[in-house]
Amino acid sequence: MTGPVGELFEEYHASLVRMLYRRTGDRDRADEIAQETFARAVASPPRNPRPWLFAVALNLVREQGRTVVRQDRRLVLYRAEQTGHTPAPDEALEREERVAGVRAALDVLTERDREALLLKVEGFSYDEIAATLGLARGAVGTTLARARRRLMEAYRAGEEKKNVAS
Amino acid sequence: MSHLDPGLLHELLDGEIPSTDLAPIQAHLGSCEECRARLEHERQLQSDADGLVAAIELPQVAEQPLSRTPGRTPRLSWVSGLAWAASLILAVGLGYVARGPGSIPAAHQASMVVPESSGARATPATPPQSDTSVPRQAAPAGHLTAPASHDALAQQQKTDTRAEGGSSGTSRREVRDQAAAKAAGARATNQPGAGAIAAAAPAAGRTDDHPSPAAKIADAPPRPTESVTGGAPAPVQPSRNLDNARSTNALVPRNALMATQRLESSGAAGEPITLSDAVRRLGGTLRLIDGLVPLRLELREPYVRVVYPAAQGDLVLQQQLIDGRVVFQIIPPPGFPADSLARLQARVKE
Repeated sequence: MTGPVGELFEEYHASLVRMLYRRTGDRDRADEIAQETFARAVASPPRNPRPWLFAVALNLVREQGRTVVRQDRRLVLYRAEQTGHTPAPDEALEREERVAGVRAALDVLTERDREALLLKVEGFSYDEIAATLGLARGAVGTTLARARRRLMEAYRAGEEKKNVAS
Repeated sequence: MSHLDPGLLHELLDGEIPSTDLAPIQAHLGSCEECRARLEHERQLQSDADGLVAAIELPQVAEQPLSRTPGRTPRLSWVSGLAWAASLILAVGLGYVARGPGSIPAAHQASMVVPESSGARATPATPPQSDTSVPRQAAPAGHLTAPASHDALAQQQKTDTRAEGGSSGTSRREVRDQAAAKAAGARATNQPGAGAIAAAAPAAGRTDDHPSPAAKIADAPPRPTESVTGGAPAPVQPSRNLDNARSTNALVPRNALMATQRLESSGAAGEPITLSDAVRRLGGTLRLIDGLVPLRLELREPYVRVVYPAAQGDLVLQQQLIDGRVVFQIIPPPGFPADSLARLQARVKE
């Protein structure tokens, strides 16, 4: 692939799809939104590409509606996170339960906290997170601290609930 | 100095505090046991939370460059019935006028893209005529689920070339390249160079010696987008014959010539257009080649054109709204392999 958009694709596509998958829980949808995002990059090449691409992609996710997103997340739980390799059944079950727990915990976060955390895990700097989400640079640390704390609280609460039920 | 707040501690843990601002924070941590304990707590929180999110791994997709996405079922609608009828008429018409002693070069063959509801199998635009020693796979349909680059496409072409290698002295690739060069020369002298004319309609027939699509439809699962070549009842020979390539002008049917001239005339760059405008002009849908990243969007009345970079030049997916239906054409650059073109047609998606 050649040209500036080709370079952007090579550099950011995998990361963008991964973040979108974590955000939506649907691999196909992540691919589609990523494709749409790059199509928009063609129409108006960004100056600061990484924050731009991720901001556009997250906007597209939001535009499609929260209801759809949540339905898709649940779908993914039923689809059992299809993967290429086939681990042992108990290993697979444990992994699926863990991922389902993380998704449920991510659902508890506010949109801003969730997106800041997803971007951080993708290796974004605070400046890039601020640019992507339209936050003040000084607010990023506080946002991430809150997101991480709430995620762990929700995750642990889910685990405890599961243990009590079993 | 008051205690360090969680935001500052996370900035510190994430390495986001400028070195010039570190000294007072470190000094405070050196003297405040409570803040040191909180720092450790936040460090654990950071590690656990980031680790949990990172544990959501991207599902693997099939490793074949061209593969179907599971769980996708094509839509059936009355439009497909109309499309079948339209393609039948077009195919019969083209076949009637294309019948004759010569052949149409690959670059001028019409390929028709079957809409998503069809179950026909895809075949390359220029199937070998007499090579039975090499089993030839129908071009896989569906869309590219792995990130596609033109490197990948080029690799696919190389693979195809290897697969085509027969026992004859001259390789198929050489013949194809020569034919493409001839065809390009013919275009330069008066021959319009259309690549594929792909309508959003199913083809009525096949011109190669593969089993009939009807037999395969009965067994094969439906595919999202597939193509068959030719579509004309009379055999349309591919451009392996260089002599035929030379005499293309005399052999190309008049209506096909007009179509190719129209395509050629639309080959120049158009006006830039925004995505929303393009979608609006096409009645709410824009077709793209799945897995490829467009270079630009442009308008050349009455077509909306999505331009993709290819090794040989720009490849254009041209589309137009006709009677509420999007009709699209792929215009390849000169020398673009016909079998790769057939694969791309199978990957055109809304």
